[in-house]
Formats: sequence, structure tokens, C-alpha cells
Amino acid sequence: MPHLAATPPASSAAAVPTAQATAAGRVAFRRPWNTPRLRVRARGVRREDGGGGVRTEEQEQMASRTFYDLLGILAEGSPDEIRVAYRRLALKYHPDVSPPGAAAENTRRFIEVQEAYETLSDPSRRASYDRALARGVCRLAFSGRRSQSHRAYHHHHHHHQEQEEKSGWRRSWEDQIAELKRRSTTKDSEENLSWGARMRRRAEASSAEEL
Amino acid sequence: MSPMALQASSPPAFRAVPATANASCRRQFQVRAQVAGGRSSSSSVGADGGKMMVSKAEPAAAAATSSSGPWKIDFSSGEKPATPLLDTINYPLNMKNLSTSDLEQLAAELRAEIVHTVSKTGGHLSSSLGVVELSVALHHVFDTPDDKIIWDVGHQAYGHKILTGRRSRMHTIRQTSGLAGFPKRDESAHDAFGVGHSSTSISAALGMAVARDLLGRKNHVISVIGDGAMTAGQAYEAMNNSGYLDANMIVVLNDNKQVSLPTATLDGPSKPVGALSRALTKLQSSTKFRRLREAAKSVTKQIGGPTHEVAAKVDEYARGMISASGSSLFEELGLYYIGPVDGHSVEDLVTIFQKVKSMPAPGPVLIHIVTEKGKGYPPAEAAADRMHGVVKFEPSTGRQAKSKSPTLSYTQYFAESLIREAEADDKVVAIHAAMGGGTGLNYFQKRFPERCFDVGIAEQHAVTFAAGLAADGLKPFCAIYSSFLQRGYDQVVHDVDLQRLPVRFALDRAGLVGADGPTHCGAFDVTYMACLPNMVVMAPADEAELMHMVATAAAIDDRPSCFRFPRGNGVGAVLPPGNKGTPLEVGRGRVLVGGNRVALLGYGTMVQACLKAAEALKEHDVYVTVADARFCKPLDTQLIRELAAEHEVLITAEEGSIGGFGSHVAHYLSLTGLLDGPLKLRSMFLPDRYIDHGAPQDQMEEAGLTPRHIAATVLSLLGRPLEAMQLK
Repeated sequence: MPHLAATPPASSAAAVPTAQATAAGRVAFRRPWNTPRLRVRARGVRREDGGGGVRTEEQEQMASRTFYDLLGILAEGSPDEIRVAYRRLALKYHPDVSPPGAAAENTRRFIEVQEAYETLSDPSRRASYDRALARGVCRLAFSGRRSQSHRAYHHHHHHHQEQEEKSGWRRSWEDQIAELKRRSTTKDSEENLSWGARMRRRAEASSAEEL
Repeated sequence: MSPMALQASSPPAFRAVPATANASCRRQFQVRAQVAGGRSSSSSVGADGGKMMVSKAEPAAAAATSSSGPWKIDFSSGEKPATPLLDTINYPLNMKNLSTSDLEQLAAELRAEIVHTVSKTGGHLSSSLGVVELSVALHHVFDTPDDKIIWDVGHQAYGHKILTGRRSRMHTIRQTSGLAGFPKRDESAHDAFGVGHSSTSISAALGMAVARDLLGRKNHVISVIGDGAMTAGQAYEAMNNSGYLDANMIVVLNDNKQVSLPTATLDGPSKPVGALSRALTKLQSSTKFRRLREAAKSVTKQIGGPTHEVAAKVDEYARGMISASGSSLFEELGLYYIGPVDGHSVEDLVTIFQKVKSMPAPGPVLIHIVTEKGKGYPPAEAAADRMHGVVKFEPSTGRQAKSKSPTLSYTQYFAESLIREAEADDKVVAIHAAMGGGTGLNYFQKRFPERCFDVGIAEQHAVTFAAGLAADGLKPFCAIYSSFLQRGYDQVVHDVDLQRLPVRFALDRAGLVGADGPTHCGAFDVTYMACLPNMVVMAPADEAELMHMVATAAAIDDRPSCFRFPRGNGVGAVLPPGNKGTPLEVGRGRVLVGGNRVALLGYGTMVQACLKAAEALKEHDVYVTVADARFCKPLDTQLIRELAAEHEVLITAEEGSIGGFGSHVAHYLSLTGLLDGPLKLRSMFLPDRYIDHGAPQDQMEEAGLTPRHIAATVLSLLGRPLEAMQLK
């Protein structure tokens, strides 16, 4: 994933679906690519959820889906198919485009889809996952927490993960610092009634007087 | 960057060489102008092959980037390292112009210096090693003493002391008249706050931040607190208040994944004691979370829209779900969370500190750094206890000098006898507050893993938890250092004593404690325990008595009880068979030596000093009675009446403050009219001031409680003051 700057790019050379702000402030989009609608035969139970079917958490888990089911593709799917399926679902469940009521649920699904994509798009991780599936160890592994079944196929990637983690930390705190900087410039506006803000405003005012 | 290049950029060509001769001359350094000879980055000056070498893994290029290989320290020669860069640093002022690679070199040299110094003096080793990069980064970015850095507990501040003008005196650390083992305001302006007990740094830092704001100053305030110290309630009280007040300050959370001392069990650190550690672990492994945010951003990029808003939204929805629940803990309290950060990367730390320093109104910020305790010194990294607290050791191997005492420590005798009690009675349980090694309960834990409770650094909770255990039928032994129990005192009064619950308190480190100094000194426990109406208060004169008192406490089931014992080793008393004590009769002391005219009534291990004084007095033809009171509450009133009736002089002696044993005896005597007669009463106890750290012998001299002082008091009262002064 490319690391993005804090300010959004004005326009990108890459093929980007153009955004049109609607009057309500919601973003509608057109997909430029032609996605052949994948009619797939899923393994196990799969429901194309248009947001209509009410499904409880337990039902989902009891459906014991695999990552393939989640993405709506066959287990033999090619990397392209996986990517396309991921994009489709990610756009569908993205918090930004979900109706307010379904935001939490959709975000949860977004996370699941993300997890599935990460696993299946990396050839070695996908291979481990397939082996684990074959052994019957795990299905849809993600439950919002680090779950037991992850360990099975994460084990030999531990060292790489550690390295990756450390470099990943840097990006994480760089973001956090940028956010703090942004907040800090507006922090002491008049609405902020905290003791610290009042003291800072007072100090600003008195040093402005001295100038 | 080679030292030669550094010379060119630093202030006029003086090189401070640490003074070796006089420890007493405070600020005089031997200064000589050094000709900058050509040096490679390997600092073996004079090409003497025997020196401990601090070198880079590969030869440094002219414009070495910080990532050109880590610095390696070769400890195998066991000699003092050559530290050319550290030699130029007297105060943080000297560090301002250093580049990143200079700072990394400095960190390596500082590490070598710490290992070398502590190997000669003993003290706390691995905590300082873990924060070397942090110390260097903090002093490079901030300007003490104007900026305030508060080190929680303070045992990790050896690097800080070296960088703030005390390098030349480090060989005196923890010794009489030398540097203190913890930051101390009297010692240096760079020590912003005195510490020793844990979890106080955020509170103090907030106080300093508020003072700064009210007084219109502009300095920065930083507190450094470990993950273990974070388990104490006070840290949360402070963070909560910081969030509310919103004053600018930085809290550095030093997370070395121990969340308790690595001495907690015999096999190393215990599994983390609570939910906090899980939260911290999740924070460290929030790669998922980060990736998720990036994925969300990249998708949003395609949709079009401000990416930071999306990131914030995903944060908001996903935080509770994924792994960032720890950060929301701090954020709920009102601190802005940054991390996790690699605590051993000087570059990262400097970047973050500089950025936060430059912000006008960050409010309270928590920077979560991850370090390794003992980093950079392989024997410490490998040891189960990480060489947390050490005596003198051999730098090349890490092997510590074995003590040659024929007896074990009181702590060990206590642990042993408690295990025997627990074997006989399965209601006996033990509680401690993150001090498994210090209290000896790591042995108990090994033997009875289900009956030993480590509550983290939470004395208040430990006491009330023990009260709960007692209320429902168990026999809890709370082993807490005398000075640490101060923190849980209200719980002792209100939750234990007021309700008369049979909690047993084992007060280790009672009296003067030597090198740790006044922060750890257990001066007050006799006073604060014996004033409680329901508490049984006793003190053993030797290790055998200690075992009997453990049994006595186990037998007292209708009221709370406590017993105190000092740091140090036993005197060689004959132990009861099987190391199992027999309960003593409550409120009964004993007479050890019969004499006339003068009676010495000792409490606790001062009885040993009384016995020695009695021996010394025989040479002056004075034969004193020596008695061991055993109990301060209830007093052995019959013994006291007999001693008062049969002697002209009664001297009480204890290693405690005013208001303790001597006070209780004096009150009793006055109430019964025994002070209305010819009796001369004198009480000997710790003076009304704090005794500095140092060797135990020196402290007792300073306190006036040695056998010589006791004998001198006797002779003075017998009208022989000249002889008193002639005692050796």
C-alpha cells in the first residue's frame, strides 16, 4: 500500500474514478473499469448481502465461511480475480459510503474483507492458508481479535513480521504526529475551555501585548 | 562521523577527562587541550589492543548515515572503554551540535560507561541500559535544568547522571557521601524531582507544568515512566488529571514488556499481571490497524475525498474492534497517544521529540516507546533477572561477586518459614506488590503457585485484597517493604484494623537500608503500626525469633498483626527444627542477660547491638541487663515493671523513628507512676532527620545507634562521662 501524504492529491495520474459530490455531501462514484460481474459458486453458504438480509453475528460464524467465500470467488481464483473482488467489496463496505445506520456493521465487514485480501494476495500466505484450510484448521479466521488460527500460518512469517512491524511503527507514528500537529494549531480556539487552553491563550495575549 | 570532524564543530578545543583522584572536588575537571590526531571511528586510542572497544560494525564512510550498521561494544577485554565522544560531554549543552550518527556513537559509549561503572560499584544495571538511547535523545533535544525531566523510580537514571555533570563521581554512586542511586534535587539542578517509590512522575510533572503556566514560563516538562510503574493507581490519577487540565507535557511510557520486575519469580519475570499489558501488546502489534487505515485511505483515494478524515473515521469505528484499544485507554484519559516507537532508535526518538517540542499547543502527549531491558550488554540480555540489581561484577562475563556470608538474609528465612507454615495449613496465602524477588515470595510462588498473589505495584489494593481474603476465611500474609506500605496506610487503618481482620503484615527492609537511602528507609513502621488499636506489633531479635514470629502471626486469627525485619543477613542463631517456628506467647518478652543497675530493653534487631554494648561494658566493670521486648503491642508490662523496679536506669533501643517502641514504654511508665520515682529513662531511636544513603555501618554511626553509642549512654548515666568518650 503506498504511503499517502496527509493532503489529498488534487488529481492522480492513475485511473481514478471521478468523484462527484452530491448535494447531501455524500460521494457518489463511477467505476471506470469493467468488472465482469463474477457469478460464482461459493463453497458453503454464501449470501450476496445488499444490506437487506439481517444476519446476526452468530449466524455468520456458524456459516463457517472461508476467505474465498467472503470475497465471493472460487478457491482456485487467480490473483486478478481476488483483487477485483476485493475492490468491489471494499468500495461497497467503506465507511464513507455506507448509510449512517449501517456504518458499524459495514466497517466490520470492511475489516474482514481487508483481512481476506491481505492473506490471499500474498502467494506464500495464501499457500499457508490453503494448507490450513485443507487440514480443517481455520475458516473465516477473523473475529476482530488476534485469533488462535492465525498462529498456524503466521508462524514462519514471524521474523519478517517483526521487521515489518518496526518499520510499520514509523509510518504509524508519523501519521500520529501529523495529526497532532494539525490538532495543535486549532487547539486553543475560544471554544476550548480547558485550564491549559485558557492559560495558553492568556500567555499568547500577554506576549502579543508586549510586542 | 569521525571524532576529528566533531572537534572542528564543537566549542574550543578542550577535552574533559574524568577526574580520577579526588572525589571530593566537585566541579574541577582536569582539562587539557587535545591535539586532534587522526582517529578511525573505532575508538581504540593509541592502538592499545587491550582496551574495551566501542566500534562500528563496518568502517564509517565520510558521510555515514545512521543506518550504516549498529555500534558494537566489545566487552571481552574487561578494561575501561575509551570513550572519545563521551569525554567531550559534560552537560547537555555539549550535546546540541551532535549529528544523528554522533548521537548513536555517544549512546554506545554511554552504554559501555554504565556497564563499566556499575561493575565496580554495584547498583541497578539493566534499567539504565534500556534507556540509553532515550537519555541521549532527551538531552539532545531538551535543555535541562530549565526543561524538567522526571524519571519515575529513578533507578534507570544512571545515564542521565553521566550526561549531566556527574560522570566523574559515578564511582561513588550509592556509597557514603557519594552520588545517590536515584535522582535527588539536592544533588543536581538537572534532577527535577526526588524519586524512589514508583508511579509519582506524572503527578509531579503535571504539578511542574501547572506551575510553569501560572508563572508564565516556557519550559518543557517530560516524565519517563515504565510499564511496571504504570500499574499503580497514582499513574492513572495523574493521567486523568492531566487530560482534564490539558497542560502541555510529555509522558514517555517506557515499555520493556516486563510489567513487573524481572526478579518476580525464580525463573524470570512473571506473566504480566493485568489487562494493561495485554493492551500494550496489542498496541505494539497494531500493524493490522495501520494497514487497515492505509487500505481505507487508498480506497478513499479512488473515491476521492480527504484521506485524513477517512483515517479518523476508520479509527473511530475500528478502534474498539481491532487492536488499538490500548491507545483509546490513554486517549479516554485525555492524553494524545503516539506510538509504538522503537526505543532504541536515537533517530526516531529525536525526530519525535523535536516535532512535539515545536508544537504550540499539543496538550498532554503520551509517547509509547518499546525497549529491551539490559539492551546492549549480552550477559544482562541473557539473564533471567536481566541483571536488574547487581553487586560488583566482572564486565567481560557478567558474573557477580558472590557474597561470603555464613548466614542467609532475613528475607530468605522469612520465606522459608512461611512456606513451612503454608505446608501445615492450607489456608495460608501470600500477597506482594510486584516484589517477588525482594520479599522472597518468589520461593513461595514456586512452591505454591496458586496461593501467591502478585498484584503489581499496587500496595493499596494489596492491603484491601488481603482484607477481603481474611474476611472470608483465609490467612493472608502481606509481604510489603516498610516504606512501601506507607502507600497503603489508609487501607491498613480502615480496611484491616478498624474491622479487626486478621491480616498478617511482614514488613521487610525495616530500619536503615544502606545504599538505597532515605527513599527506601523503613523508619516509620513501628510508629504507624503500633498506634492502631487492634494491631499486634512485634519484632524479632534474630532469624530464629523471626521464624517463631511467622508462626505466631499465623496463629493470631482474631486481629491483625505485623512483624518487622531489616535488610541484611542473620546473626547465626540456632534455627528451629525443620525451619518451622512455634508460636510465642503474645505480649511476652524475655531477658537475655542478667545484670544490675542498668537495663537495656531492645526492640527488634537492636537487641544485637545491646548485647554487644553489654560485652563492651564488662571491660568497664559494668554489668547491664539486656532484655528483648519482642512485642511493642501489647507491651510486656510485667517485664517493664520488673525492670523498672530492679534497676536505676532503663534504656530502650529501636531502629525506628520517634513515636515508636520507646514512646509506648514511656507512656506506660508514666501512666503507672513509675516515672515519679528514682528511675532514669532514656529512649534511643532514629534521629529526627533523614539519614543519607551509604554503607549500613556508616548509617548506624550517623544515627547514633551503634553498640558504642549505647555503651556511652550507659556510662554517661552512671556518672562516668569521660569513659563514655573514650569508648572505641
